[in-house]
Amino acid sequence: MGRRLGVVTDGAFNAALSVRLDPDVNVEDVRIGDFVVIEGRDNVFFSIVADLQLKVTDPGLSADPPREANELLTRALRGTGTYAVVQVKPMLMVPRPKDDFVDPFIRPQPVTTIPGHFALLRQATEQDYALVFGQDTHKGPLFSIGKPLTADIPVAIDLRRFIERSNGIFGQSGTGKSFLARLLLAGIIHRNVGVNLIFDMHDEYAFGKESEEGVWVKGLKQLFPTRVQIWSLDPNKREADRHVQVGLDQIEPEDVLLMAEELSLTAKAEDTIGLLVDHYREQWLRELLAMDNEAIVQFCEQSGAHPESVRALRRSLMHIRRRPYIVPQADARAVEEMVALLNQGRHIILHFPSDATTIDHMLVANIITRRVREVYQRQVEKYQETRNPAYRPRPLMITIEEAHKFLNPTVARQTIFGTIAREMRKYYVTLLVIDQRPSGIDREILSQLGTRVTGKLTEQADIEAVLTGVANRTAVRGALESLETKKQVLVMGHAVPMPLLLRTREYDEAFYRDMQRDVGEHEVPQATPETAYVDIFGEPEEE
Amino acid sequence: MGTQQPIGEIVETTSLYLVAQRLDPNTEATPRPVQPPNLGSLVWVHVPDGGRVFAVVSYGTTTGVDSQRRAVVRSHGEVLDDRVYREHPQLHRVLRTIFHAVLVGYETPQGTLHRHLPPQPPPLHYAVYPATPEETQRFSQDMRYFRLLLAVTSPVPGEQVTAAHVREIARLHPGNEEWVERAARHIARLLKRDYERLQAALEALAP
Repeated sequence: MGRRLGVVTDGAFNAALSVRLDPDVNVEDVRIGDFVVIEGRDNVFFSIVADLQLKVTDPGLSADPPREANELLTRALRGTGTYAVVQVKPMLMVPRPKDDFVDPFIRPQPVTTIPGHFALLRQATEQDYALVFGQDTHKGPLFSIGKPLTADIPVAIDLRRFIERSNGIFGQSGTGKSFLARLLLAGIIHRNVGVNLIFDMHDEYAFGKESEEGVWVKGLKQLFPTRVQIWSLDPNKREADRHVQVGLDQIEPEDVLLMAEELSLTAKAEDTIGLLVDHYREQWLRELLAMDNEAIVQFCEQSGAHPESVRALRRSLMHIRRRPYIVPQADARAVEEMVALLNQGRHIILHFPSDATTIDHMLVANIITRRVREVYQRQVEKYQETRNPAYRPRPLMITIEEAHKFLNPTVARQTIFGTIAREMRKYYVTLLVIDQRPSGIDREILSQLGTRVTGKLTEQADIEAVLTGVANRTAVRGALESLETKKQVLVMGHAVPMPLLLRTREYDEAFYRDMQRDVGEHEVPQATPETAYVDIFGEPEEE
Repeated sequence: MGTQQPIGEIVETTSLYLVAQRLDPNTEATPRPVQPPNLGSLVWVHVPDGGRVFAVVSYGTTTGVDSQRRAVVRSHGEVLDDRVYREHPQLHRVLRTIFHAVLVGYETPQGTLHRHLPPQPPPLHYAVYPATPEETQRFSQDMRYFRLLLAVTSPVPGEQVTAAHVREIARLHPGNEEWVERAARHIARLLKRDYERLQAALEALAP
């Protein structure tokens, strides 16, 4: 039994329950976002602390508070005339075990009622955490990502559920987003719940890196040398397993148009590109870049394009030609090879050179992702046709940073990333979007995110954005606003039964040891009532 | 208990309080003023069924026997204060000291303490005894009777009677700060809707 905190005195199902703190409980011992338990008569309610309030029984007390000198009065008032109220939002409930018989199959369910007056509120115990969040057994999909602020109990998220949907990691810069992403990616690799394609735009994941505390930390390649492959756009990167090239013939009009701003394309560019594609098919860019003045005039005469527009477009797109990884014609099998590796359970980090620009990030990520998804789609269709488990693709999670560039409202409808985020796991491909300005991401995409892990955000617009599509937003908003700058996150959504505030797990020697032990010794997931249900009837309809 | 001397005799009795006249403690040798027991002190009365009724002194007064007339001034020259009494050894026959005590509980013949109003008022003319420090301590372990003390309206306000009671117990048991703290919190709980009275009570408790 956890420490007793108080009793329920008031509340509403649609709002929160008011719990009057016991006089001997210091209000400062209770934190916003704490995981707490209410003992109802027939049910146990797992809840989070949504708000803390100070109250007085007599308004005279606020008008004329006791002077410092009268200590006896101050002490006597504590918990009598002055008291604290905790607003608690029940999230899940389980029937109270009868006759000491604990049903091992019973899982916490969403709340459908509230506890009565004077139900007891207490701190959560290790058993409560284990019952709600499960326990990281070092195998299987439950993976510990941190500890609650007020308890030394590792809390796990369900990685198998995590990769079922697109997810987001948010937080302003310096909150440890990339460490958190490493943690989760390492978990996915270690537990073998899916495969990763990581667009490592800032050289964060592949290799060792100095943390903000000045400690060198290991990259994913060092943790999982055989299971992680580095593909680099930088021809001089010697640690890379493979160097990637992009052929001009692989660049489609949409890839270019998405970067209209970055490439300073004119309004006419789209029409001009259309004419070029009509004429040259997939060789349109190659041909355009190869044109001299005479060729342009000739092309314009044939197609009706405007020479100035063509010249302007050519000037803009010459930027692309100059990138070191661009070749006239690339090996088209590279993507097939990539997917083949993913199918074998390898994880691929696409490494960008340190001088890569937004243009490089967007161009490469779009082209590769589009092709990978095409191959995945074919695989899935084949699997669905044959129902042969051998064709069943491994769930793929694609990690992108600065996600707002790919998923902002202007482009989200056109990019492949927008498509993947919207169609969920239909084709076994999901996204892990990492961003510091979630307000820059299209609302519809945000609302589709399954699990959100967010560090501190100060902008109100960003907080709103992260909470888009979250149930019980008012209850979690306080927790989100109370986060400290470093190493604290709020986890909510599909991979956790209820939102929870955590100190993130340390990415240190102990973690490396854990990750290097039993790599990939993945237990066949045990059938739980839910998975059995899903296996028989398919995924339940989303609300 | 058996050896204790009574301090008063009940001259008026009700379900809520008793009024007693102070018995004259004077021996012939040194006449002194006759005073009521300390405000807030615990007293008790035998009742016919063999139990005892407990009460807390809530008021005291000394007047002339004829309550219609004020006492006559007796001081002159060097004769002041208790010398007045020595010069007039008959004074205690013409003065009357009365005290009120609020009923706060009773003890059954079997020795069980109850801290609420007794079923019967204590009988008229019965003797009033002071509680010993041990009896006081035993009775004050459970503070539920504070509610009865706080309800006293006249002539001394309830919060003052209550504070005096707590002070009295603190005086009898020095070093019992934990009890005083508990008492203060109990008073705060009872007066949670009346900060003015609470302030008055606890200010009267502060050392």
